[in-house]
Amino acid sequence: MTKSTKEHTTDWLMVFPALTFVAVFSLYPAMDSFVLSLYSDFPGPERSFVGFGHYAELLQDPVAHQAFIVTLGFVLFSTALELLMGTGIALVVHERFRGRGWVRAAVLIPWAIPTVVASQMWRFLLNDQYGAINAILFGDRINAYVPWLADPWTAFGAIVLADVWKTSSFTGLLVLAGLQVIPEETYDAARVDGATAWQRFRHITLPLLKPALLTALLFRTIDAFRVFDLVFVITQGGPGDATQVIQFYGYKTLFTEGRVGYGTTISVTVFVAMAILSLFYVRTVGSKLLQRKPA
Amino acid sequence: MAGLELQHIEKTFGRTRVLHDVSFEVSDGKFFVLLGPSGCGKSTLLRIIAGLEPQTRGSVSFGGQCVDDVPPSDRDIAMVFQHYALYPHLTVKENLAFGLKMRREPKSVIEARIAETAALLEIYDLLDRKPKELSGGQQQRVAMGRAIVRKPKLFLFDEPLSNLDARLRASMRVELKKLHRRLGTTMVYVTHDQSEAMTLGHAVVVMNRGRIQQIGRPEQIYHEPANPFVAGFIGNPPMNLFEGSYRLDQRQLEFLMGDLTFRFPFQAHERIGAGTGTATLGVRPEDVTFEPEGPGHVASTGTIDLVENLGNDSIVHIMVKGQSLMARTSFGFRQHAGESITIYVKNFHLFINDNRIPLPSL
Repeated sequence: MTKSTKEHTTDWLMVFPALTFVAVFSLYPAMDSFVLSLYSDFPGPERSFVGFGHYAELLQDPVAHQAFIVTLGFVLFSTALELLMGTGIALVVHERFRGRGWVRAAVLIPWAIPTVVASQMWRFLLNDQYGAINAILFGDRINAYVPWLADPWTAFGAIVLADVWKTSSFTGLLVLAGLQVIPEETYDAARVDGATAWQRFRHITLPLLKPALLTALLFRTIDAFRVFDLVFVITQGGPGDATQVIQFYGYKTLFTEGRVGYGTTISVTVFVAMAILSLFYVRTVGSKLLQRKPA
Repeated sequence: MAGLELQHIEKTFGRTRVLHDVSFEVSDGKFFVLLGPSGCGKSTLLRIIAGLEPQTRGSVSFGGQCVDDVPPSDRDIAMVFQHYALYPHLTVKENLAFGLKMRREPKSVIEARIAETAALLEIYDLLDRKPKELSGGQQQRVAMGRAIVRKPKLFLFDEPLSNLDARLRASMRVELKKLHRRLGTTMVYVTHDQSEAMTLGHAVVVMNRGRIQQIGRPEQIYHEPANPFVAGFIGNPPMNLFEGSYRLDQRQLEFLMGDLTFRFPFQAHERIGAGTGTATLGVRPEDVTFEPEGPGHVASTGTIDLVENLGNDSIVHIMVKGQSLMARTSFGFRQHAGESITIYVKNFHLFINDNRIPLPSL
């Protein structure tokens, strides 16, 4: 099938606004960031071209390495827990029971709260002197109060916890959508076939939920990699560098230390890493998802 | 296994009662059909037999044993669903093996049973495929195979052929009948298709609005419909039904409809005493002829409204004294719309208070 020139012109006219938008607001900033990363740190007429010098520096930077490991840890723990919690939530709200509508709405509340607000809330809850968590755990025994955010491990746990609390309902939503497309008859067939509740979950629900779980995994890993606001509000990367994730390190380098070149280098690296990860997901998981469309 | 028995089954969903006091018995090895329009409760009834849905009242027994508290997995039944309900992520072979695996049958038994079933249903070539790679007819076979492979005591079919095209449906119907003869297992089969019911069933239960209308052999249901619903539901085209009134005295019964009066010799009995009331008169399209075939046949004249030619037979729509009537002729009907025609009726069905009143043959 060939298209006339006129049709071609119309096609381009139709996509022109969207293309312009993407070019101005996504493509140009990304390209410009890359250009910035190739120059010395201080912008202005006297800046000099350093090529991939900053990238070489990043490879050698122990703080960056640490930040990368913290980020990976965060991605791993938060994503795993969110998938687990999300599946749990989805299985519960998929069941028919009185007040299910209310439960479904309630489950989504954490997700609806802006991250900065939720983070601030967790910071208060975890406060070492007047935090609700210490009050609940230890009551009047003020001496036993734990400075959660001052210990590297509990501080890391805190940002994971805050993220899991906030985002599990989102994965829950994705998994629920997956559950809802499994026909009820399939379960009836399995019941007649003699499958117990656990066997039905293990042999029917879980395999048929795979596309939904993979989608959730895709969204969550990419999102978790970019974590910034939680850390910014709750721990500021501390104590020490214990919760300093890569995006926060980039932010600090650029805005606190004023190293524009190196800061953008970190951003660009994260961007490229994300692009590769997304591409990988789309190629592997995505193609499987598309194949699953009914004929 | 011995038969299946349902006693006073009732089912309500919220405030809606979908089954009213349903009782019947299916003897061992029989092919039993639940027939009715959609929404009549037949599928719910099947799900109750399967144990997938609890009944509100009443009890289900298999071979004299009450199974009300037995979960579907332990009822030793197999079910073929309307949409096949194959496991989409498993191959045909794994689909067949699923039930046996869940019951922890040894691998050798599973392999042997699959081989046997695949041969019986001629699905050997499909074993390694996924359900989505199969046509509707093939999926249907696999669904059947998944039921057979377990060698259950009872088969339940929930409109298994309704998603197939007409040609395939007809051939599967034949296969199903052969299969039943071969396996000899009791089968309960739900359908809204009367031709499936007539061809497959040893016995048919006609249901409407959650109530049993009639239980009987297919020919019984066809020739002696218990009420106007069954009369109108069975038969294609359906029976002509006329609302009117009756007058009964000692020796004869009159059916009155407008200017028309039909008289039948009749003996009043305990169910219908002398008197008057409303009644329904039924005439099967195939009982209307255009030549007198017997001395007592009732004749009348009318005008042809429409002729539907179906190939080997024709449906003739005729207006008789303001009433529309369908007749079925078996061959070469040559008259056209607008022409007048004399009709003869060989057989009448009469219903008073929704019950069949047996009339002497004409």
